[in-house]
Amino acid sequence: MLLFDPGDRWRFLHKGWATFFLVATAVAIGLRWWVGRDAAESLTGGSRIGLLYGIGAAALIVFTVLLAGLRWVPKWWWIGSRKSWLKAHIWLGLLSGVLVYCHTGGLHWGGFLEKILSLMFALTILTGIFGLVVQQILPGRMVLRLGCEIPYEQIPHVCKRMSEEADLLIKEALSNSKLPARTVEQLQSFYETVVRLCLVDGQTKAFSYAEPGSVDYVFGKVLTLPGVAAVNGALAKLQTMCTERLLLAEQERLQDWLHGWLYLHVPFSAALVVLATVHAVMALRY
Amino acid sequence: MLTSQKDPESPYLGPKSLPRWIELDYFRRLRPLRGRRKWVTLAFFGLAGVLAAWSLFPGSHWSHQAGPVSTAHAMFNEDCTKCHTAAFGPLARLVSNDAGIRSTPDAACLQCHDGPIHHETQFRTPSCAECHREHRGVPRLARVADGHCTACHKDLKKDHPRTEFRNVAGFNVDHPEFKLIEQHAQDPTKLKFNHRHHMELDLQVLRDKGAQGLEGYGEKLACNTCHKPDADQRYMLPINYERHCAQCHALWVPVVGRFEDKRASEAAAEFRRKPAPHKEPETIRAALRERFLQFVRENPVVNGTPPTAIANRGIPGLAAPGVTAEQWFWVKGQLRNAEDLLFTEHQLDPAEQLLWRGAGGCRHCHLETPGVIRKPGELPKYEATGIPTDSPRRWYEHSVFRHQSHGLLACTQCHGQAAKSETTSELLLPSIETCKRCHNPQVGARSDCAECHLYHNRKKDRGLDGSFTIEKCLGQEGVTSSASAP
Repeated sequence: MLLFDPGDRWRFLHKGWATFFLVATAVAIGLRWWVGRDAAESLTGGSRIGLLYGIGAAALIVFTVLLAGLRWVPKWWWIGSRKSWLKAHIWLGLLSGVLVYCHTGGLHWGGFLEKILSLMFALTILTGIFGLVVQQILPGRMVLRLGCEIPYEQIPHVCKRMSEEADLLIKEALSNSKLPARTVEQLQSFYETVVRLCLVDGQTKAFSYAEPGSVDYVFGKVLTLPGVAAVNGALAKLQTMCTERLLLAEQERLQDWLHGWLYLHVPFSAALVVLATVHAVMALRY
Repeated sequence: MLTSQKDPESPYLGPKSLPRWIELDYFRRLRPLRGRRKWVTLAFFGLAGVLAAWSLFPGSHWSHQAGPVSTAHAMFNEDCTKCHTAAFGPLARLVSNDAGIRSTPDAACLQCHDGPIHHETQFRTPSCAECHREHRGVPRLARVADGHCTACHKDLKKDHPRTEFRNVAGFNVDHPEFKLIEQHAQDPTKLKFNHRHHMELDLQVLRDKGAQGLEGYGEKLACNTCHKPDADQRYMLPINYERHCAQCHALWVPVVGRFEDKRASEAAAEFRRKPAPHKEPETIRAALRERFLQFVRENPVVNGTPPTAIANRGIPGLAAPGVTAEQWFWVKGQLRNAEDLLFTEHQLDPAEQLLWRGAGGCRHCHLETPGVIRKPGELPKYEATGIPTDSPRRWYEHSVFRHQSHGLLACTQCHGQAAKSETTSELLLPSIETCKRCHNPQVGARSDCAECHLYHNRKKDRGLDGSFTIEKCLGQEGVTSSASAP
C-alpha cells in the first residue's frame, strides 16, 4: 500500500485517513485527560472511561483482523475495494494503538498475561509499520533494478526449466565438431562450475547479483577461447540466462523483504486476538 | 516474461511456448510463502491458546492480576471469588454508569473488615473498592490516594456549608495550621509543672547534698526520663506520680518531737522514710492517722493510761486495739502537724524541700479548687489534674502519629519550647511547619492524607471476634483437619 504517489513523491495519497487518525488521536487523548483531571487517582483500564477505550481498541483490532478474511468474501458482496480496506487497516490499526494507550492509562503493562498481550500488540504494530515502510521503498527499487519479473512462486520452477534448457544448449554446443578439443574441455568445465551453479543456486563465486555486469565480463573472457566462435550463439543464450537468473535471485531477495514481515505480523496478530479475547472476558468478569 | 523466452528463433531451444516456462495453473496451488505463513500463524495461535488456557487453571490466576495483592490479602491470592463475588461487575459499572458497582462489593469486604463511616453528615459513601485499589503491589490498602479525600475536602463547604473544617487540597498545598496551635490553645492540665526547672536541674549537686535514688540519671534529666511511649511506640504514656515523681517528690511526713527512747527514735526515723500515700486528702488523713496510732501504740511516747470511751470509738472498720486519751491526743497533734505540712505548703528552702520534705506539700503541684473556703480542720479540695490514668493523651484525635518513626530526632527538634516552658498551660506541640520541613515531596517524607489521617471512624469498629473459621479463610470448608481444635 503506497502512501505517496510514485509519479509525484510529494503527493500524499492518504490525506483523508491521516486527517481522521490525527483528529481521532487528539480527541481520544484530550477526552482522557479531561475525564481524568478530576479523578481521585490515575484512571486505569478498569475505570469506565478505561473500559470504553478498551472496547473501542478491541473493536478496531477485530476490524483490522477482518482484512485477512476479505479474500473469502464473495465478489458479488461489495463491501468496499481492497485498497480501501488496506487503508482502513493501516490507519485504524494505528488508532487502536492510541486507544490501547488511553485504555491502560499510559504505559502500564498490567499483569503477566497483559504484559504478553501488550508485547504481542506492540510487535504487531511495529511489524505492520515496518511492512508499510518497505512497501514504500522496495517496489520502486524492484522496478529500477529488475529488468524482468515473473510470479514469485514460479521462480524455482522457471529456474529448473532454465537449467534443463541450458543443459540441452551446452550439450549441443559441445558436440560441434569445429571446436578444438581443448576448448571443449574448458567450456565443459566453465559450464559445470560456473553456469550451471548460477542457474541452479542463483549465484556463484564468479557472478554476483550485486554486480550484474560481471556476467558480461566472465562470458567476454570465455569468448576469447580458441575456436569458440562456432558456438557463439549458444554462449550468448547462456549469458542471457545467467543474467536473468541473477535478476530472479535479486527479485527473490527483494520480495522476501517485501512480504517477509508478514511471517511475523500475521502470527503476532493471531496471538493478539486470542490473548485480547481472554483479557477482555477476564477483565469484564472481575 | 523473460527475454530468453522472447527468442522464438533460437536454433537450440526450438519453438517455445509460455507453458514450458511458467505453469499456467500456478495460482491454483498453495503458495509456498503463504503456506509457511499459515503454519507459523497456527503455531502462534495455538501457543496463545495454550497460554490462555493455562492462565485459567487453578494456581495460575495470578497471571491475570494487574499486580500483586496487598500483604494482608496474600492468603486469598489464588481464590479470586473470595473477594470478587459479583461477576461482571466492571461491565455492570460501565452499563449503569455507577462507579460504586464493583466485582468486589462492599459485602465481600465487610465479611472480614469493619468499615465504619467517616462522618455522620458525609455527602456520599463510596464503595470500599473505589478507594482501596487492590492489585497494585502496595503492601497496605489503607494508603489510598489523596484524590479520594480531596474529592470532598478540597471544597467541603460546597456540600457542608456549616462545617467547621476548612478546605484542604493537599498537605503541602493549603492544609491549615493545626487547630490547637492556631488557636493558641493551652494545656488544660490542672497541675503546676516547670519543664525548664526540671531540665536545668544539676543532678550531681543534688547527689552531693545527699539526695537518694538519683543514680543512673546522669548529669541532667532527659525528656525520656519521664516521657515513655506506649506499647505501639506511638504516643507518650501519661505521666504518673508513682513512676515519675515519687522518687524525688515523695510525701514524707515526720513524727514531731524528741524521743529519748532509742526504739522510739528509730521508729520515728523509719516513719519519716515511709511517705504518705499519693491519694485523696481524706485517704491520706486516714492512712496517717492509722500510722500514728500504730506508732503511739508501739512506742512509749505518751504515758500510758487505760483507754477511754472516746478513744475506744476508734476508726470504724478497724480492729485495732484501743489507745488512751493521751495517746489519742498525741495522735491528733501529730496529724495536725502532718496535715499542715502537706496541705498548707510549709515552704522551706527548695533544696531542703526536695531532700527532706518532698514536694513541700500537695500544693506544690496541685491546685486547690477555687472558691472553696475551708473551715478550720477541714481538708482542702484539689482540682482533678485531667491527666489520663490508663491511656496516652491524644492531642490531635483526627490524626495518627508514631513517635517511634521519628525516634532519630532529638525531642526538642519538634518540642523545642519544652526547654523554656515554666508553666503547665504552655502547649508544647509542634506546628505544621515543623512537619512540613520533612514531609514534603522535595525532601521525600510522605505527605499524603493517609499518612496522618484515618478515614474510618475507628471508635465505631465492632471489635474482635469475627465469624470466620481458619478453614473458611483457607477455602477448606468441609475438609476435616487433624490439626483443627476439638
